[in-house]
Amino acid sequence: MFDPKHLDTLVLFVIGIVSAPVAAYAFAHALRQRADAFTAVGKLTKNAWLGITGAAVFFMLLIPAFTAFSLGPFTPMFAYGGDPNYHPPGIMAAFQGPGSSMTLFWLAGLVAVMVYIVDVKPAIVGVQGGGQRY
Amino acid sequence: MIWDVFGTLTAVPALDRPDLLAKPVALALEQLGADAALVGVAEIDPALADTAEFCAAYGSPMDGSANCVVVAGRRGEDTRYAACLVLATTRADVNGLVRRRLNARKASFAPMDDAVAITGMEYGGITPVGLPAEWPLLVDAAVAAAPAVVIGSGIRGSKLALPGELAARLPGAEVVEGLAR
Repeated sequence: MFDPKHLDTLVLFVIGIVSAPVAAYAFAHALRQRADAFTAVGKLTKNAWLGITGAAVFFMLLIPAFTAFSLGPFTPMFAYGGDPNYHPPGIMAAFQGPGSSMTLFWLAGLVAVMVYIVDVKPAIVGVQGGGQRY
Repeated sequence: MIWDVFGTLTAVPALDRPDLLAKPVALALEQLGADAALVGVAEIDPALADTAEFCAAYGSPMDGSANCVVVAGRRGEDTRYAACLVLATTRADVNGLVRRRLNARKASFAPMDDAVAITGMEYGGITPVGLPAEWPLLVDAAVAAAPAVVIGSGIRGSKLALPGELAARLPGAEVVEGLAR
């Protein structure tokens, strides 16, 4: 299924699959926290983080969907070794988020979600006495 | 009138209705002397004790309510508590100012079970009046400047209203600039 020559594609494929649920988890986590916890640790407000992680989820779902439905100008060239006659099967194309023309938004979303998970989440869980589930 | 901040509710002097006060709150009000006359109490639906719901239901302005947040500061095995009073439209900077004031390494919201057990007040009704004497009460400058604020009464079934300047004079109170964000 994957030619070793295109290991980068495989890596991006996996990141593309994993990123959407991770972003959804970050959004769900932010949703369940008390609003004053965010201010308490000097982070952006709860609504700001809901907006950021929500937008990240949106792009991570939108880009695969976009790619799946527009195998034309938006289909990434690198994914099939530059062969313009090759069209990847639908599911593969669907997860080629990083290769789509909206990579910038996808990447920004991924970075924001990572910031939430490694920086904001531990701080707000800590300020709530660590008593919060998941 | 001070108690207009209650919106559609009608208030009476708090000490006239001790049945609407938690025990430590009634005790603390008695010790306020003449100032206690400035404190009004109004009965509310206990299901609407949450500030946002209270304000919506009774037409009380959000910036006329103050939330009391109990913070636990830890340094090693030692846990110190403080209460913060901030307007309902703002949030307390727990990990900055409060943590430094408590000289703690780590500051967090006190677990509700602990706060309820130590204060003798109900969950959702914790109020700056009648807290343990050794707790600092940090009052945001915006609360101190408010003509009147609605606060808890120690129970969910009622609210108190008092002038911000009186909140800033409660036992143990310190007015802190920039406590709320």
